[in-house]
Amino acid sequence: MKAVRKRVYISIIASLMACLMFVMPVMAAGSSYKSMTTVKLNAMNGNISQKSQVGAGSYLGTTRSITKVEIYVNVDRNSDPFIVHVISPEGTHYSFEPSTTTNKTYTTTIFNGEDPEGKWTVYIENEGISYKPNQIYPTSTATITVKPYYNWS
Amino acid sequence: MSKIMDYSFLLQEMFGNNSSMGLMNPIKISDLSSKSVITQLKAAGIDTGSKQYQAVMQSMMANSRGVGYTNIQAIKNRMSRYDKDGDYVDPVTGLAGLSVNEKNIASKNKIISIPESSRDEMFESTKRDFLRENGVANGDTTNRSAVYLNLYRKMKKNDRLAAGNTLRQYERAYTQAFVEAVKSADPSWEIGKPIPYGALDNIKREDIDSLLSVSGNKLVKKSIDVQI
Repeated sequence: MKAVRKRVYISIIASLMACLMFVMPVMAAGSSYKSMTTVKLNAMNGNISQKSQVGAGSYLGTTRSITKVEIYVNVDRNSDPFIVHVISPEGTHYSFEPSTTTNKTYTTTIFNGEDPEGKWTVYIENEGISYKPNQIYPTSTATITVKPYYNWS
Repeated sequence: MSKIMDYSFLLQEMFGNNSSMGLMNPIKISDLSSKSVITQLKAAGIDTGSKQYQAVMQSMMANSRGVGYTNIQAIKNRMSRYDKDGDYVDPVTGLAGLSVNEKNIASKNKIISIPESSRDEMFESTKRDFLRENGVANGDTTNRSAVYLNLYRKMKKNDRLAAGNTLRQYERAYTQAFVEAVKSADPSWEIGKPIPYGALDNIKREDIDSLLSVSGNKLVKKSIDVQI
């Protein structure tokens, strides 16, 4: 009797698995990223640079979710302290102070969960600080590359 | 011993000669809290008791570590981007309350009530984009950022981040409903292929919304209990 019951259970489970394999549609899904670089951004004396809009082209899938964003800051020599501002297509605003001596990639999870589709806006803000007392205007120059990584399905 | 104090800069500030004096007279960051510098800043029209000023000083001190030089015009320029509460006003949207950092990220990941008009706008915008691009997500032509911006304008400053999170959940639900409707009309449909005529005509926003319920920081489809 026990052996019969065991066989019945095994055949029910095998049937269910077969149903799942053949009835469920094949779901396309994956991970991707988009790399977007600004023009050269200049800011001086506490002001902001031009606002560079990046993000042209298509994105994969019908549902997307950012998993991280890498921001590469290529800073010009002799730049004074500045703040990098990144705004997602959904309007979320993230800012940070990068090194003024070393080109570097910064990673943030602030945008996680958002859909990266659309235009990203990037600008820099000169902090109004200089380490050279004879300099009339503190100035900052950098080029920024924004790379949102996302899962899609 | 005679003491000579030069107040000529105050007279020049009073007569509006800001351009060269502010820039040519550097102020040491380490002297910003001194009485003489505060007097100088006040004479130049800077409210040193304001939240805008405090926000700028906090930022300058943190980045410079008390070293370096600034000037009056630079301080004024930076202050112009903060509101009376000391919150940063995004120059792209003209709105405060959208800056996210590790301290306030929790306030973003919430579901709150948002105006029906914004859900309507998102539904129509998502449908238009979906039909125009045959389901392809096109960063050049999408109007979704404008829909988010319109929502933020209707919300209080402190609710904007959560409102954006909530709107995104609806946006996803609408897109998913469109995909299901197209696949129902054409099971072989793939993103980029033409959408069968009329495939989305019977979809109503209210019907999709009624199937959603809150689960943590997301909106999910309600499960249906079937009793036999």
